[in-house]
Amino acid sequence: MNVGSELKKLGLKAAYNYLDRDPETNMPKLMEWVDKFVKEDVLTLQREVFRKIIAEKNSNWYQLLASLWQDIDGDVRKTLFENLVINANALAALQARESEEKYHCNIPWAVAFDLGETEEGASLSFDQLDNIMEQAKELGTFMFLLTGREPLERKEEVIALCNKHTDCQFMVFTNGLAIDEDFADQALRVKNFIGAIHVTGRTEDLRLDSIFALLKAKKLPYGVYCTYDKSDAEDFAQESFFDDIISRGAKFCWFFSSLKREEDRVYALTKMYRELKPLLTINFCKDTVMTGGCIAGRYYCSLSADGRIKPCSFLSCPGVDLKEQSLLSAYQADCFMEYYKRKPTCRGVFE
Amino acid sequence: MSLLTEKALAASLKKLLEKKTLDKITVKDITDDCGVNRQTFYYHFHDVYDLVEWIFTEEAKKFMNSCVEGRDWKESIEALMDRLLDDKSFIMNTFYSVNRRQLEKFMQNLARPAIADIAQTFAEGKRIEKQDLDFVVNVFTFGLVGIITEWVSDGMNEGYKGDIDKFFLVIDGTMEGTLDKFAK
Repeated sequence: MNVGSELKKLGLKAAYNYLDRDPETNMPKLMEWVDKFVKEDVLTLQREVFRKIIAEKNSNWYQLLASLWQDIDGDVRKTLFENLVINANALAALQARESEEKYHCNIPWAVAFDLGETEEGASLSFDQLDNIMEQAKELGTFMFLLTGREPLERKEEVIALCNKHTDCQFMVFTNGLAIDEDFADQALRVKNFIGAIHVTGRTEDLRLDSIFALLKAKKLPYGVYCTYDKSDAEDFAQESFFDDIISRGAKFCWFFSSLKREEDRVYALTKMYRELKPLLTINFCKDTVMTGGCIAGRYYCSLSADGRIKPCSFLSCPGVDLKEQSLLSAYQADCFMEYYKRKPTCRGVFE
Repeated sequence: MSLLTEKALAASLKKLLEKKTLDKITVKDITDDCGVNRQTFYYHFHDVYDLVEWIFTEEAKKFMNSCVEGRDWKESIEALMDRLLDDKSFIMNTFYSVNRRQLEKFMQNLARPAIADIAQTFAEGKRIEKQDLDFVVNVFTFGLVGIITEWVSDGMNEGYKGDIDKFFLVIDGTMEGTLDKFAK
């Protein structure tokens, strides 16, 4: 990263420290700072949204934003800001854009890594995961999603990756059961861990109560995710579901479903509650208005346990084997380039 | 907490520093020597400099704990120099890396209590503001650390005792007078 970027980073860090002193007063002033450092055409939509939020102090969004100061550990919040806002957005948006211009391909905002096992029992080692993460950072990606049957079966590895790549934010999709006090302390130590806990909307979620309580007590940031289809959509299409997860301290909820937009009652509710409840929600892959179309290859891509990377885990293409090839060559391969040349509609979830 | 792994990694780094400077040592060198994998290293430490920081902190703690109560301050400073000589390779090879600031801070942390002790003795019976006393302690600490830094950059020869005797003369001659200037 060049001197200009480093100075910008210092400026943004200073801006954050300023904000941290008195968030309510300084938030509008922070917007002016960000506007100064980030080019006009970068993140325009997001900044417009942000400006609107901080102008309306009674809004649910302002409430959610304010809760980040009440509910999250100071150092963790600072790291979150540095990694998410500075690295993954303000700077990486520029860095990724430079890479995109240089290499004529998409550089995704996030890469998802499957920490599970293949049918033959193979999985990616720490060294392999680390190598790919280094390549991703070179190109301008600072957001990593850890998935798999249960990523926290490899607890030590997850913490080691977080501890090495302190300039990245890690979101781990987990059933949450492996989160104990010791792990929570490690998450506090590394500061760049966000848990996305799997919820079912049914009574078995009650066993997660102690885990949510633990995360809340430790002031760690976390949210939930759920998957549903026609048979269980009703479990989530209730206001009580939303209120429950908010009361349990979740800051976000990701919804995954192959139900078509017109049939999806949960999606309809989600859109309604966006105006009312302090919760960040995204419904993959229906919120295409927000993301400007299918996110495959552009916002995210997916690495499976056998080392093959694809624009999206739901696609049936073979992908590129990163044990043999570089990440950049994968981004320039045909299956990824389709999403660069034009913005196609979904080929995975809704096929 | 047992700190077994951290101690083993620290021992490996120190061993490697007997032959190479810090900037030439990789995490893989350390883990190969120690017999653990990279994952284990990164679980505990962000990078090699993080491990160095840990060593400095542990060494400083050990030194503090070994300081005998009521020991003459000259003996304290000589003990400090002997302690640094014990770790000669570590100090020399860390010195030539980019993290000299870490080494300076480490030496300041070891030297300051001894200097503060001396100042406290001279300040007895005088009315001096704490921040002024701290300032005077800082000036003499920086002086001592400066001498030690020169000594390290000259190769940590055994003849340092002569220089330290001169430093004691400087303190003897000037510290009390300096403190008088701040006394109310």
